Amino acid sequence: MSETISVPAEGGPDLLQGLAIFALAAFLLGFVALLIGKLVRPRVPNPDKGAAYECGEQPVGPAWVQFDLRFYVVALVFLVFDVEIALFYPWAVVYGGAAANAPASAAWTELQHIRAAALWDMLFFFGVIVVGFVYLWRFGYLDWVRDVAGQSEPVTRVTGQAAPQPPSEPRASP
Amino acid sequence: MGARVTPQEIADILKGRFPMAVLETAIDAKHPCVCVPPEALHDVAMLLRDDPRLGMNMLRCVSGLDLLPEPQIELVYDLISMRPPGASAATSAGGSGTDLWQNGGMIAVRVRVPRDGGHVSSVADVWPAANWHEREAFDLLGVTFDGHPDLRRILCPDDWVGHPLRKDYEFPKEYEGIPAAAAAAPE
Amino acid sequence: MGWIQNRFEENFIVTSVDWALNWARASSLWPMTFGLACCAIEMMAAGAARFDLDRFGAGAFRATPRQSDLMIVAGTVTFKMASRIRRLYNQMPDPKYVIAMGACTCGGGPYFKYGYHVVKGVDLIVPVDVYIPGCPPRPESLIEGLMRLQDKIRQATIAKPA
Repeated sequence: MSETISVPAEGGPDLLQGLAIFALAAFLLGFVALLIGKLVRPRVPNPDKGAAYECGEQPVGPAWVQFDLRFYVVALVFLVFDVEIALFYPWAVVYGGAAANAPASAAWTELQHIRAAALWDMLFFFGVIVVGFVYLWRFGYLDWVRDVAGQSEPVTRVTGQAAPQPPSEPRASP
Repeated sequence: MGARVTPQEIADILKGRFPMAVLETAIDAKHPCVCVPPEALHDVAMLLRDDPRLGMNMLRCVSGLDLLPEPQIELVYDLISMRPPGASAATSAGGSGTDLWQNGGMIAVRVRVPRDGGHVSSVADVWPAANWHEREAFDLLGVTFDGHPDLRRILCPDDWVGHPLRKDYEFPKEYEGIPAAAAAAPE
Repeated sequence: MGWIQNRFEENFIVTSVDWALNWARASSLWPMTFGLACCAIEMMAAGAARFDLDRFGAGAFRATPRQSDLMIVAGTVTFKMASRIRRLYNQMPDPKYVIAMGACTCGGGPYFKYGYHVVKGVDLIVPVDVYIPGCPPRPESLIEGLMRLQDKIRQATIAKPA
């Protein structure tokens, strides 16, 4: 390539100036819209406008709810296996690249000598992770709706209470 | 579980078991009924539901009548016996098919309570449907049901004054600051 | 009121700004779903395909008062519901408008004489801009009411009163 960045021959904005104009336009787009709104909109303050919305009722209780714990478990499992994949990937590239490029260059040929060791190392790493995976699967952490009938009680329950029971019918005494 | 039980049979079974409880019967009326005093209502209800010949397992409706100028309110319990499909393969009434629920007999039970302070035993433990029906009767007519698990207003707001479906009810002039039309009690 | 209200004498610029503001407000009236009774069915019909409200810009029914600027009270208003209507009206941001749809909201409707539980007209609770009589009004009536409201919006001005 003879030229790297093409610039207009005569005058005109160069790259930095173009970028500055772009940033200014982006800022103005939002700022002017908000400014026009601030000038033009009516202002009628009312305490109800800041109150929490509860379908017309007086708000009862805090608006914060406890997230379901299963989302945390999903995120944790994803994190572990995503890091595992991230570590697999360069290994796979080098391992496969060594077989393909070995005849071509000296560096690759050296790598070919340790192919077997590399494979067994990676299998060991994978095996450790698989043990964790088997644990998850066996104890039902992969089930969204947990079957508590035949399993041991999972220890991640927050409050330490037993699994929720179905509500019993209210029996009234005469 | 045989064929449909007739109102006369129901009345006879009731009279046989509770001779003092059946005040009068109206078998040939459009809506066959037996009248019981309020103190006997719960026992009669249990018999009607549990007796295998009767098996009144469904309370269809609890209605209230304001009998002004008589100072009484009459409650009508509309009962029906629903037989499950296929229960009686040899139904003599020739039902349309054994895959439908069959009507095993109907009866109404009428109870009269005094207007002021009238109370009767709740049958919400006999038929769960009575729970809300009795709340409505309490809300709109003012009848108290003893032993009801949750006796409070169901249609009117909780701080409403009066029982609207009584014949001598006076419309409120205003509620929570909102003016109501000054309509007198209807003629 | 806002910064621009009642600040400038009426002139060409002010009327042009008026025109722009009123066009924006009238062409994007977002109703809050407030169907209480039978009129709600007609309101749904007006929002559906045949009598499309979306061509007036009013097809985006919001379930929350925070994002809506039009409250179509469609149906009988009971005393039990009245406090909720007032609270939801207060929670709507300005500028806000109210359409009283149907006979019950105009003056109590068929429940005027014997309805002990009915508020005789929603204008006892919230200020109403347009009344639409009918029991229930046809969707075309609701559309006419919406267009009358748009006309009312177009008459608004930010100019200093003379």
